[in-house]
Amino acid sequence: MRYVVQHRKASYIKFLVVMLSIFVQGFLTLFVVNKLLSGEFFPEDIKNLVAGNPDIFLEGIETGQIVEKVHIELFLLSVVFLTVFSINLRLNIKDSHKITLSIFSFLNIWVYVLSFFLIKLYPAVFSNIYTISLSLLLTVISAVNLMNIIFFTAGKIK
Amino acid sequence: MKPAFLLVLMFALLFLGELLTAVYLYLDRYGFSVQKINQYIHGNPEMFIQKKSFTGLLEIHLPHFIAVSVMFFVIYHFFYFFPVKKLYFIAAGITFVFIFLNFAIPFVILTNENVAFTKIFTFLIFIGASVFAFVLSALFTLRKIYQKC
Repeated sequence: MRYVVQHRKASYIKFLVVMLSIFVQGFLTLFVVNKLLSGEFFPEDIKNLVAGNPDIFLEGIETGQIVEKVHIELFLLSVVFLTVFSINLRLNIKDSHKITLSIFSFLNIWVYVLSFFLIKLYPAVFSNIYTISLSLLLTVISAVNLMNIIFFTAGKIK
Repeated sequence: MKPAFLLVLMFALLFLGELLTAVYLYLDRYGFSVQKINQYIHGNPEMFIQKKSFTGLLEIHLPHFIAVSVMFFVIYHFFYFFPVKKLYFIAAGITFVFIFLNFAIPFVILTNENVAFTKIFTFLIFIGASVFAFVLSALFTLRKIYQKC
């Protein structure tokens, strides 16, 4: 980013960055929609899915299936994380804000991933932690992405 | 502290998580025995394991071809920020060759059971190169962060 934005055709690159950010926003929105529709968002839903529920004769998913889900989501979240925060590096804001936001999102990714596994052991606690970390993660990444779009459109970049 | 170097370190740690889940899935499906590899691809009626079809294997390996190469391109391109050495060219070259072989060999096993052992060999080199890439990027970044503090 550092080398292309300072290029004399910077306005073209800025336009591309804004387009990419809009698509990232679309991805994040669809990610939430997918989680809601597949019953993987709210604590009660994820608890039933992972740990099962004997009252309604529902079996939980196996560890292998959780690992497979985590393997795919970790890839997607890593790519989105790197895309959003590498664009964020060019913004004309304090470095301490960039560091705080990236560390917060990074920790939330790990809490989200680990709670996915731990729901099997302690469903009551970790299903809530799962929903909270996922909500926080998506909110922060979306906010940073929207901030990227606004700053790039307004030209407030280094 | 430069936020860019911190970002590299955090991505390297997410890459490590991706690597660990990949190892688990490999051990779960293929394992380190020729018999288990053949069983996964050619099926086993006694254990109710279905034989994999060409399209079935393609469904798994096609997304991996692009996802794994993108992931490795990202992790190896971070080395651009550090002194470039011949070793990185060799490591990146080996990694990309073995990414290809690791995902192409199951298709060969589908037609010839005798080459099943190569899956273990290619996977081990692929994982070795991945660990090398992770350790090096993490060490370089930590050193940079330490220097800037």
